[in-house]
Parts: sequence; C-alpha cells; structure tokens
Amino acid sequence: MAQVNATSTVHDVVIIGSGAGGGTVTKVLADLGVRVLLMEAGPMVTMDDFKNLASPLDDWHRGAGAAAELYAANQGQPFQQPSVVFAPSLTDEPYTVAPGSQFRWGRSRCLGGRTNHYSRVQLRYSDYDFKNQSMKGVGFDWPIGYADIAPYYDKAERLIGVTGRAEGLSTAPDGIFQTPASFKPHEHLVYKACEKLGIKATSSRQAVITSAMNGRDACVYCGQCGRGCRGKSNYASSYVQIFPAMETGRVTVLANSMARELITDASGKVTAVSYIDKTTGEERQVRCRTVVLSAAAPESARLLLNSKSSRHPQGVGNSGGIVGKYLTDTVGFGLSATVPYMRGAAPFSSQGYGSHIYIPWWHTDHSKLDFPLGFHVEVGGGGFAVPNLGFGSAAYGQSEGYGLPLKQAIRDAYGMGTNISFSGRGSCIPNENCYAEIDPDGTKDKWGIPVLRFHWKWSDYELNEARYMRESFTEILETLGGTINTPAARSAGPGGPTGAPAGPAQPVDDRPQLGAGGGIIHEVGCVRMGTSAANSVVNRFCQVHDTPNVFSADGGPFASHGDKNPTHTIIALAWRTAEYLAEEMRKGNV
Amino acid sequence: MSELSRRDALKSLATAFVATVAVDYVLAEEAHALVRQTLVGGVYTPKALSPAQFRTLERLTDLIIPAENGKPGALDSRVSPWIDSLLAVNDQLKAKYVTGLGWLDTAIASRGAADFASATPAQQTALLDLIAFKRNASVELSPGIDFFALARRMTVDGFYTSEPGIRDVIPGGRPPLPQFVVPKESVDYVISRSPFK
Repeated sequence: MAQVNATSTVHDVVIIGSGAGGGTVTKVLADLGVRVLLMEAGPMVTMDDFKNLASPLDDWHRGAGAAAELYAANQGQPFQQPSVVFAPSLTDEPYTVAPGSQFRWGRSRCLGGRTNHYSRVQLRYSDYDFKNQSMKGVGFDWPIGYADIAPYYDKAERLIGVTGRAEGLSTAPDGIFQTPASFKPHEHLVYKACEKLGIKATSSRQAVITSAMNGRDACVYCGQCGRGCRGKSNYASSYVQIFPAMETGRVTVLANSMARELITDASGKVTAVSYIDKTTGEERQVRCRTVVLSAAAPESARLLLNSKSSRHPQGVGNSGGIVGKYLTDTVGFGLSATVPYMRGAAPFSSQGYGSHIYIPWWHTDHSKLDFPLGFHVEVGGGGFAVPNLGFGSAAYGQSEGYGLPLKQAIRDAYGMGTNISFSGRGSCIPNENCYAEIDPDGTKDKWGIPVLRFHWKWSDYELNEARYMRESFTEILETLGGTINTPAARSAGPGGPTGAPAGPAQPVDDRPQLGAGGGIIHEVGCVRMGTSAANSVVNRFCQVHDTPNVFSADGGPFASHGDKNPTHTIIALAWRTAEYLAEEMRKGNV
Repeated sequence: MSELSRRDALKSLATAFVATVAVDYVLAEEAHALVRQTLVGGVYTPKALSPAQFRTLERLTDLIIPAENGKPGALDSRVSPWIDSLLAVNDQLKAKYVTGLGWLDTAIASRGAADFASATPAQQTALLDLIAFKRNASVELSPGIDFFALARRMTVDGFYTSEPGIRDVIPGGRPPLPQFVVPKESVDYVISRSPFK
C-alpha cells in the first residue's frame, strides 16, 4: 500500500466539494466563527478565470485559432476562450452504465463546481414537492416541509439575489425578488399566448442581481452567465460565498484534492478523510472532527460506498442499503417553432441575462392528467447574439453574392427572432430502477478509486409527462402563430462519456423518447433524507443516521425531485444544515 | 465619392474628432472607431502577403463588404490585416490566398486590366459576378469560385467581429450595458403582426 501522508491537525469541519452546497456551508460556518477546510477535486479559480465579457477581438486571431485552424482545417466551430473547467467527460475519472441503461454524468472539477456554469434558474420548491406521497400519492415524503425550508430560501435570496415577480402561485412560491428585466419582443408573444389559454407566465427567476448588492455589480446584460461573471452579478459559489468566506481567515482551501475514503475509528466515527493530491498523485489524509459531503449527489454516494470498515461493512451511512438508491434527474423535452412574422424586427442587444420569462406549472388539479406531477417551461429564442466567427454562414450559405445585397441578406438572417423554443423541465419520481452502485466489475479511476455504475429507466410517469409537454407546447406556440419545427429536440443524447454501449431505446409509442438519465444535469437523491437508517441515509438535518459526525450538503438528501431546478433548494438545505452543525458543535454533540 | 477618397475623408474626420471639432454624431462615432483602430493597430505592414498581394486583398474585401451610408465596411475595419495575420501562421492557408489572388490578377488580365487592384470597378465586379456564384462552375472559373468562397467567408467573419461590423447589426452596441432596454418599436413590430394585434 502506498505511504499515506497525514497531518496532525484536526480540522473542525472538512467540506468535500465547493459547489452550491459546499460553498454555502463554507460561508455560513465561517460567518459563525467555525474554521473549515474546503476540499475541491479540481483547481482553484480566480476572477481572471471568468470570461463573460470576452470578445473575439480580445484575441488577435478572433477565434480562428493560433494556427488559423478554423479556416485551414475547415473546423466547424470557432475557438472559444475557455472559461473555468467544466468537463462532462473526465477520461481519468470514468463511470460505467449498466447494460440496458442510458446515463450521462456531467461533472465539474474546479472551485465552485457546477455553479460556474449552470443556467442560474433559481426556483423554490412548492409544499407538495416535499410531500409527494401524502399530497400526490406517489414517491416519498421528506421528513421536513416547505415551512422548514422557507426561512432559508429567504436567507439565500438576500445573499445571492434572485430576479422575479410575485404571482401568488402554489406551484411556484414567491420569494424576495430583484427587479426583473423587461420581456423581449418574442417573450411578449409567449406571455400573450399563455394568457389566452389561461396559463400564467411570469418573469424568470434567475440568480442574477439587477441592482448592486453585497459588493457585487448589477448585471450588464451580456447573456453569458455560463462563462462566469467578472462583475459577480450572478450566483456562483466561488465569488459569492467562498472568496468572501476566505476573507474571514477561517477557511483553508485544499484544491486538486480528490476524496477517496472516509476513515473511521473502532466506534465507527469518521476521524479523517483520505484523498489523492492530484498534483503529485500521492494519497494523503486530513484529520477531522466532522465531515460535510458536498461533492454532488452521486459523487458523495460513491465516497460513502467506498468507505468500508468493520463497523461499516457496506460503507458509511449504508447500514440500510439506501446509499446510491432513488437517483433522479429532471424530465427534459424541447420543442421549437418558427414565427416568420417576427422577421424584420429592429435588432438590439437582446442577450439580457438569458430568458426573461418562464412558465410555471399551471395545473393544480391532476385528475384529468395521466401523470401526477408537473413541469415548468424555460423559453428561448428570439435573440440577437453578439457576432462570433461563423456568424454569417447561415446567410451567405443561402444567398450567394457579395456587396450590399450580401450585407442585407446577413442583416435579414441576423434578425433571426423567428425562432421560439420551449424547454420543459419536469418532475421525476424516484423508482427502484434508477440508482448508482460501485461498479461490480471492479473498474477504477486513474487514482485507483472504484467508480460508479449507473442504472436508469424512465417510468410511465415521466413519459406521459413528456407527451403532455409536447401537446401543450404545440398549443401555446401555435396560438402565437408559430409553425412547429420538426423533429422535436431530445433532452440529451444517448450513451455516456465512457463509451458505455447505449442501451435499447425506450419503447416506441406516441410519447416522446426521453434522453439519457442525467442529461439535464439535475441528478439528485442517492443520499436521501428520511426518518431512519432503514429507509434513508440522513435525518431531517442531513446528518447521517449511522455516523452522526457526517453531514450531506448537496443534492444527495432529496427524497423527491420537483420540477424546479435543484440549486435553490440545495443552497437552502445546506444553509440549514450548516446552522445545525454549528449548533451541535457548540453543544458538544458532534 | 470613391471608396478610397471616402476612406481618406473619414480619416480626416477622425483627426477632426480628436481635435474636438463638432461633427455629426453618427459620423463622429465612426471616426471614433477609426481613431481607436488606428491607435490600436497602427499602419499595417503585411506579414504574409507581398504589398501588391495585400492591395489586391484589400480591394477584394472592400468589394465583398463595402462601406454603406457613410459607415465603414471591411476595408476600414482592418479585415485584411486580420486575414494576413492568419496567413502568416499557416502556410497551407497562405498558399490558398497567394494562388487565389494570383488567379484574380490572371483572370482580370485576360479581360483587359493590368491586375485586379488597378482594374476599374466595373472590371472587378464583372469578374466577381462570375466567381461569386457556384452555378458558374467550369474548368476555367472553379479555382476562382473556390477561392472567392473562402475569401468571402473570412471577410464576413472578420467584418462582423469588428466594432463597425457589430454596430452594423446591433446599432445600440454590445454589452456591457447599464440597463436592459427593449426598443418599443421592436415590441410593437411583432405584436402588430401577431394574432394579438
């Protein structure tokens, strides 16, 4: 066995993973005076790593590549100035997919994790999202309800800022909102079409600030949230939580450190975290009083399952055999329409902060529907993007020539607000067929750590939901005068980045085929919350039942998955967990 | 006004702008852009092409994306220096341009001009009217058609990633923006043509 370097320092809290959950725990604990060690599997980032306002003009080659590859090799896409690392395909850290399943696991390896890249959709769960079984008759109830989390949604919104407009909808609880930006022209059409059909559309709820706050600049409407924000105008755990927390002097960041195993003592308590220093490949340990898992749900489950000992023969937290089980993602279905009469609208800098409108789920009575939980709709299209290399290809590919007629053809094609797209994001009900386990064939990653194998199967609930997405999207888009584009977009492609063979397609019927599980990158569950070790991994405070000095602060504890994107609930839940942890430490209970 | 003399006029205007002489706002914006380009780029010395080849390239890009209503086209947007810089780092691409620009000279010589750059605008456009369209493909013209497609692609890319090109399609400019403003005329335009009018 390789020599393991261990330090004698015992850290009060070791936080594994620096995304929405880990960033929140870091900030809350540091503000409460607790010293923490934050472990991240990827590199540290600085504000210079964010490129949201980068222009082709910033490079002498403007994106053609340092050897003019775009034109010499006839590449399809211009070179983009890379922002921070987001690697859905980590060749050194593979995973496998069981025969017959399709799953994609989008991971991020850098400080801030996926908060560097996510769409910033920031939605509160509804009361029924916590009580699926008792209120909707399916899935599982969480041992906590909306009232337990609501104060933490408030705290999160005051810190990070969320745009929106109060509407009083039970399917989309209101929050403390930043003033939203105006609707774009095509969004007015969507609003009016919905209104005609009795559906309430409203301003999008994005983790973006339109007024300066907490030392962060107001949004400058570049529409490039996915490349980070140099003005800190959107939420990313790095510059909103971790960098400010570091200023307290109570945070130590351990970057490029891949957690391998939780080390336990004879009593079963975790005393250290074993990790790989990726810069040297050496295995090291940090000693700890408590551990917070915030590596993203499946990664946290993997760590628990790989932490076997005589007291934890199935892995830490897994005495009930629940770790890895009840994995969910979001149901994704897309449809778009062409709206020719929009051609010719005067162009303007329309990026904004992405979509400025969304459609919350509009049914409260499901008695006439063949699926029990709903979805919301994210709206795209109708925009005028800042030109990049290749920008004119659509126009000059269709209209030959040169001179002023070519310029006019490009302007006409650029006034491309003729397309409106809908992306449905729907509830996924946990089932026995969707789970992660340690690969039974013994596959290990570059560091020798056993990898996960995923199992996935959509149920009729999700497939029926997707059919209703298609029907209702068609109705809305045709009401505004659009012609549906075919074929309908799928949520995600088949197969996985490890090259695992794609499983058989879902049964062919009149329902849309859904893409691979994990394709929407909303995978939650695996470390679910419940009332006992027999039915769950963590308790109502996200504390592991059978190992009380271990906590979960990512999507792992989700006992069910509403249609809302999970980031807001991850933050609120992590905030609550951090306050509880600090109090338990103060009392000497952990 | 010829393109070259108009370009000179704009440069004079740029000088006037620096001297804070009151000028028309739109033209002043263009002058400002020219000043900025000049300050940033200075006078360009070709790195890959010969001076004669570079003049041919300048004229070709000017014809593909001309100035319009007093607003700069490819010539004043430093598209040719950008292309030449790319040719300087890729011999394969440079060979295509050297061959293609030479083809233009040869082709226009058979039509009575000394070379492409010194030909009359009518002679130049007569040749482009042949090679800008794939339907004219032939043993004689296909090399010119293929080169023109490459030059047009790069000229369009170069112009619309320049400040004048961006302003050509986004009159209000690009981010960062202090506030998000949707032109009422854009909203009225789509609503008036929609089922909700």
